[in-house]
Amino acid sequence: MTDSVDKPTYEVQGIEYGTVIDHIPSAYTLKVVELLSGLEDKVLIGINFDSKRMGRKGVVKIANRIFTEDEVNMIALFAPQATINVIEDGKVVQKIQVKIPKSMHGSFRCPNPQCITNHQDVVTHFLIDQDQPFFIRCYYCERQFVSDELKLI
Amino acid sequence: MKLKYKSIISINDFSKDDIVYILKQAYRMERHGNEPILQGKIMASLFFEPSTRTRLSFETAMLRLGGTIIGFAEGDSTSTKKGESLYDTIKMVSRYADVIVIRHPLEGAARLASESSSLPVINAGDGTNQHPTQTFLDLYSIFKTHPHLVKQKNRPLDIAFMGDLKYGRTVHSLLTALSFFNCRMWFVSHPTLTIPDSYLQILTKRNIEFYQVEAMEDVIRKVDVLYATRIQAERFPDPIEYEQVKDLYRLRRENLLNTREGFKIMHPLPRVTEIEAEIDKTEAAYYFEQAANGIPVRKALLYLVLKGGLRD
Ligand SMILES: [Zn+2]
Repeated sequence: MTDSVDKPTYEVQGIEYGTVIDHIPSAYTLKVVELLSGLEDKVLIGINFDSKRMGRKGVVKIANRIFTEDEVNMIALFAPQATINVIEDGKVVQKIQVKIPKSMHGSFRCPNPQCITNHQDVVTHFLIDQDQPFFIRCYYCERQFVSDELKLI
Repeated sequence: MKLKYKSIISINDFSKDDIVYILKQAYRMERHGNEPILQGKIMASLFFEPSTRTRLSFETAMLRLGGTIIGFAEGDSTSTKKGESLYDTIKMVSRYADVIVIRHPLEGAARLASESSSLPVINAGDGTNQHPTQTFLDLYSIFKTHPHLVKQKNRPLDIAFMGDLKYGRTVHSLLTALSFFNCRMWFVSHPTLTIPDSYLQILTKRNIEFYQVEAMEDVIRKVDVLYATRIQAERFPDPIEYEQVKDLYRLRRENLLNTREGFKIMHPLPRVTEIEAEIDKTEAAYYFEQAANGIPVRKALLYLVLKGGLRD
């Protein structure tokens, strides 16, 4: 782990307890914020920070929140390289590499307007093919999508 | 896969073995299929949008096997208009019938129906998504007319798809299922209506040789089956372009000269102008038999989901 934590990131405004999402492609930084943070959360956002591994990267710090595996894996659809740092007492106590999930329930709307999930009270369900590049398929209408087409419910 | 009490929603749910098994069952139905083996069973025929051909085919299959039918065919005039949820409709019908056949304008409706009921549900078309019984009858038609070509060691079956390959659901499902078998595919279409890349990727993954061409004359003498589809005027913003394209993909009797022995033309019907009526009298015309093959195929599927396989 040579390029694990870029130190300055934590020194500038650290958080005592919460989660730091590191190694986000800069363009998707705000998307990650949208995916993970609630209205009341205290969030620190860094975009275009220097990174040895990625050149430029985004960093998001969300105070007082620890996420479930399903929640963090959702961001792998946009930031497959992201690392999740769980912070307690100002220190990294756990480091998690995100994984592309096999399926997702709820969260996103199906982009197909003719899909039954957009007309009836149904929880959306997507399956993710693990091939590279991966693609997302709606369990109901069977259409394939890329992450950028997905909108949060 | 054991099919008893299972739903038939999408061709993508079936393995090669499942497909072969279902086609064999359809073949048995041609020999034994007028006995009342589904007597006492009720099929709910729920057509939320009209599709007379499909509905008549399902209903004939059920009646021939001694079963009875409840349902509706008028779509919009039923409770859906009043905002009743599909889930509730299916829940209610599940108390009346033994099997549900559903046609719905929205994609994924049949999958949702199958989750709303413990009864087997058969998808008779959900929007532009799936129509698995059509796919099975297409496969059955191909294997019935070219049985020797299904075997792995023989030369591959050459099949051409012509017409609207971009939006044509029947083409997409059929080529996906056929890609399990020993065949070679030719895609004949206008540049605006070519086959989507995602399907070509499936073929590449399964090592199926394929070619994309623009002119029908280039392939008609190289194939065993030509699967023609309707080109819809709505796909063309310019009506003049539509007229020109339509004419390019119209089969005429003179096109049949020097075609392969056993060459067959298939079409999911209804046709508009893709195949001229003169062809109907030739040996190559197979589309009406193909439609009739829907009966043994649907009989087989109804029997499979209600009672399991039919023995010889
Ligand atoms: Zn969908």
